Amino acid sequence: MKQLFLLTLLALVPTLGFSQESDTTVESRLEAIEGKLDDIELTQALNKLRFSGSFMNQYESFYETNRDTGAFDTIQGAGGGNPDQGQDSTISAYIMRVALNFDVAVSKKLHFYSTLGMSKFWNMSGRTTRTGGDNDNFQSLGGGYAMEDSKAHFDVAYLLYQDLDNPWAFALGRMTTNNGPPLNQLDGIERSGTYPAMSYNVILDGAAIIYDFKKYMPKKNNLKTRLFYTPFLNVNRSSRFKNKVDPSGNGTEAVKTHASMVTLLTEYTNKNISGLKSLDLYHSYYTFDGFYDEVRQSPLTADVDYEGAVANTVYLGLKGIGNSGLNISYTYSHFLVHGDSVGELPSFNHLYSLNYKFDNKLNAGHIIGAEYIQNDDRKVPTDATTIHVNEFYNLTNGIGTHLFYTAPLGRTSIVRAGVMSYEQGESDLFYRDVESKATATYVRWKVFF
Amino acid sequence: MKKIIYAVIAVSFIFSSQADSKIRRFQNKVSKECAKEKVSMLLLKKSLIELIKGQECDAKFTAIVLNKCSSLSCQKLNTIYKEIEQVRSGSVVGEE
Repeated sequence: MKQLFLLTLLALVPTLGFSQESDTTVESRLEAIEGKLDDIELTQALNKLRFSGSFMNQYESFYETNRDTGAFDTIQGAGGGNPDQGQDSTISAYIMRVALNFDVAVSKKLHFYSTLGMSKFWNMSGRTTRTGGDNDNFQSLGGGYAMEDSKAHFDVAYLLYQDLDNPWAFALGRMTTNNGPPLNQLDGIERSGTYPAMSYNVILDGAAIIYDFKKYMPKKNNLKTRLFYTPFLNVNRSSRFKNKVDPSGNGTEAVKTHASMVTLLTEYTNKNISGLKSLDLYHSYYTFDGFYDEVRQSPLTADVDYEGAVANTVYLGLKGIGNSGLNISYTYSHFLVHGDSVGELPSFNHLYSLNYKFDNKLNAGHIIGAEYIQNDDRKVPTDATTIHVNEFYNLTNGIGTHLFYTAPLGRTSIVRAGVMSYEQGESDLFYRDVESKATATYVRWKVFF
Repeated sequence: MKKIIYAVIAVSFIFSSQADSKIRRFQNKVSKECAKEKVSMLLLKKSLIELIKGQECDAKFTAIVLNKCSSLSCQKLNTIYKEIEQVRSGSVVGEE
């Protein structure tokens, strides 16, 4: 028995030794793996910055015939008194736009979003205006989309506080209020901006409170409200501690610092309708008062003229009609401009958009579409961030059509070609006494990274 | 030791899913398409890595995702990937 036990022990010794060695190897390997996982976790914890961006180049051929009717040649101030605006335009231009996004997850609930943007005509700098004369506020609204020069602008810089378990969210800064629906559908991408484009396609600075009514809504239905406070500020350009002075009249009147602007955006989405991917119904209401625009001052009076507006915009979007790639949207906007010298000027405006996204093997993801726009005589210019030579989305007293075809090139770039044509008549809002007809043809290549 | 590693892996995945909304957006969209079948987060991450690297639908993990989810075609998966690639997070104020 004793001999048998010793023999067994002798037989087990090498095995035990091997087992100890194996345990050590496994342990060291596990430690190495643990170390590597720690490295990954550390890298991820330290690397809060997320980088992305896009780069677009566009060729646009633009031809416009203008006829000066002379209707407002004798009007003084507010854009009137310009007797010769009848020159035709033939422009053949290359434009680029770059956007570099730097987003930071400050904490689990706090995120910082920023975009450095620039747009310009190739090998040209020094442009300062975009639509009807840019004042300080308009320049801010356009930011890096104004096709001025190669300087980069912060087109986005805002903080978002959001607890995913809480229906409230707060935003503060220079927000993504532009490029809203239906503009995203032209490129076949998801909603890429906050306001409906016909409400306002500009960048606004301010604060926002968002409330998500999800928990009160039936399944696949959603209701959200977004309340924005985005005041326009006026401070003296050369002395930040002095008021801006209105140069018209006697040239001594101080301009008010604040022009308040408040927007309430209410969004309802239903994804539970048979034969429809989703229904989006948005209503945007905004009001602003005390807005100062230097070019709209009358030289005949010493007082500063302020203007304001109340606007209601309704966006109705139907996506995936009949479970196909067909998308239709309609935007109705009503503006009521009021001012010290202009009284009350209403306008009723419409944008119809229709596109079809192919879902077959031959041209998957390609989009063919059309837009039709009809703007009133007193339509306020609300677009400062579409990259075009032409003014399709800013028509005043005009109608226009836009036909386009978008083709994806791989997963990271798209090519879009389109033709925009429109006619505009006179406008007493801007004392524009020109009738014009324009056609623009463009092709753009946009790369996402 | 194994428990520690599992904990580290779990923490790492939870952290990354909170920090990177791209993964969450990808997961949400694929989950909507695959309402009947449950596709694991790990599998989706593996598939997303393949797509980011420029691999096609026949890549190892992407093929498994497509195989598991009958209503998700290669075309749809590419569309989902393009949507999350081409729209930056935060482009709608209040949406992460």
